[in-house]
Amino acid sequence: MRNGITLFILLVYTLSAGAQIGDATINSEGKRISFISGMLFNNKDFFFDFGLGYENLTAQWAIRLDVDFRPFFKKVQIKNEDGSIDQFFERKTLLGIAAEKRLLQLPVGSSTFRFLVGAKGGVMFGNYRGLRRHAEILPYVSPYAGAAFDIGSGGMFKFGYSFMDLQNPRIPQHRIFFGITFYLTEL
Amino acid sequence: MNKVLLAGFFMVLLLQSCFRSKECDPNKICDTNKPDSSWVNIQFSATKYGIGVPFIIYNGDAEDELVVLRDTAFTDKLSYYLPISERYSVKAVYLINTTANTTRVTAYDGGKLRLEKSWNCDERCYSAPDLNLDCRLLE
Repeated sequence: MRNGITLFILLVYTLSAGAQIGDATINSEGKRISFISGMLFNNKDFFFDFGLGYENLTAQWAIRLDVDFRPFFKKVQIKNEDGSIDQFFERKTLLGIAAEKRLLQLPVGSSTFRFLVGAKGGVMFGNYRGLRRHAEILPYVSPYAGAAFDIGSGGMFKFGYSFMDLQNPRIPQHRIFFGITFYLTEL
Repeated sequence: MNKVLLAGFFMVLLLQSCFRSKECDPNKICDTNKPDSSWVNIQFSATKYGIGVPFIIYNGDAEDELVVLRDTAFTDKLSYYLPISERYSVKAVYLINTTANTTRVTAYDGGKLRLEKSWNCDERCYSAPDLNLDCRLLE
């Protein structure tokens, strides 16, 4: 399973890189289909982030379907109503919609720097190792803010802070994120 | 075009794993006897809390309730020799006494005891790595 995920990630990255090379002359303005891959992490947790959506490079906003997932099983504890505690190895997936707006435009060398704000919202679900039982499906909202740099005319690199409440008091809600947006087809 | 070439490259990589390897290392340890059992190691936090930890090993998921064995751990690690190519799960119950009350913590873990196969010098090699299950409590 882990090898499969690694291969999938490698394939997606490579194909995206291939798209970049093929579209070197692409216009950095206009409306594009974009693909994002990235990661969110803190000292206790790690998530991969993938998304596919619409990018308006003229108005500098984006909306996309987003999937975040923890690529490993993490030991978590859940307190029951009767006061007892269950401890599981949990793999978590978040499926939602992300909207993002980039503000201010500062030329830095040959690149362009922008601040960004955005939010993701959707549902989170999970499964446990050694159990058929699944985690309760819960809604989530995850606001984020940071900065973005253009990578040539084919994409942008983003980083910043993300608040993601997994509704588990033992897992910190504050995360750092890194991501690369690849511009795909022009609309 | 680039995308097609890269996708083709990965398809070749994937398919390659299905065929017999030409690799031959005479120094490599190759067990040609197919094992039927291997070790399931389970870790506990028994000594930390100074308690016995009753636990159950199930065949499959814990909800299936196909009990392989029941035991109580007084040490932090126990190992059992069990048939391979099966999934096992474990449920361990801690009753932790505090000054105010007793808290019941149930720890679950599970996994598959796998049989790994490889080729070396045209011989089929088998290995069955241990399955390590972790029922230690979070700090």
